[in-house]
Amino acid sequence: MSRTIDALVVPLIAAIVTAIIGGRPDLTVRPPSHEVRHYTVTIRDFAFDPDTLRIAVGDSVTWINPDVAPHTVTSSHEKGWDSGPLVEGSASSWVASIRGRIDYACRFHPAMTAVVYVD
Amino acid sequence: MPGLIDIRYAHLALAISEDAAVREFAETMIRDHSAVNDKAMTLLQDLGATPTDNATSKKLNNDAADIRKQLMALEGRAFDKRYAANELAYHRFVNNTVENQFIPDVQNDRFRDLLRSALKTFKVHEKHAERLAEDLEAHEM
Repeated sequence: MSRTIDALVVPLIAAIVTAIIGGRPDLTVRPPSHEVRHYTVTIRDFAFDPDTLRIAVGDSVTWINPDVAPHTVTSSHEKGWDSGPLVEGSASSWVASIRGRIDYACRFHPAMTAVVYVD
Repeated sequence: MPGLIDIRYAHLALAISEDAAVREFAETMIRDHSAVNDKAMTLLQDLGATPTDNATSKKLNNDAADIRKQLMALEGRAFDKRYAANELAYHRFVNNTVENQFIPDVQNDRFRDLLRSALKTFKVHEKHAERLAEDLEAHEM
């Protein structure tokens, strides 16, 4: 008899609990809204390569300078960034925290310009 | 080394000029030529070689001494324009010499690669000097 009751009670309790909480509880971990990406810009022969990037907030960009001449990566945006002097072999990174078009250049060599679009 | 001559011109500009664009140009010359010279000297040490003067470098050094005297006699806009004009002429001469005389004559591959890399830097300087000279002339009009 008790075994029969158990066989009935357990599913009954489960049904009541399910009814109270409105269905089977969702215990899965949701993935982030987008996969964070990492980009590299090479400063080679007095040019940024690539000179145009389109990224998302949260993505990161790393500038690497293999040129003999020191360069900077300096944005014109008020909330942008300035890498400071990057000597040969050094690098600087930035994590996108603002949206929009961000122009940047090398402070030492004014003809070196590039742009990052952050969505 | 041609870079040493330009570094001395740049120090003169920093001592005399009050123009922001001229001073920034001069600082870039010091920064870039120092980097190229350091790399060249390191390579020469690796190769066990010693830089020696030739007819071209002797002429450059003699001319540079005269030009420094002329520059030191100037001030203000006159200095700025003369400095920019000299930088343009100097880089054109050096670039032509490096590209058409030094690089073809060099036997060592590593040194030739360094000269090719340095030439890219000097050509950027030439364009920068050209824009600087044009801007200084335009502000006079």
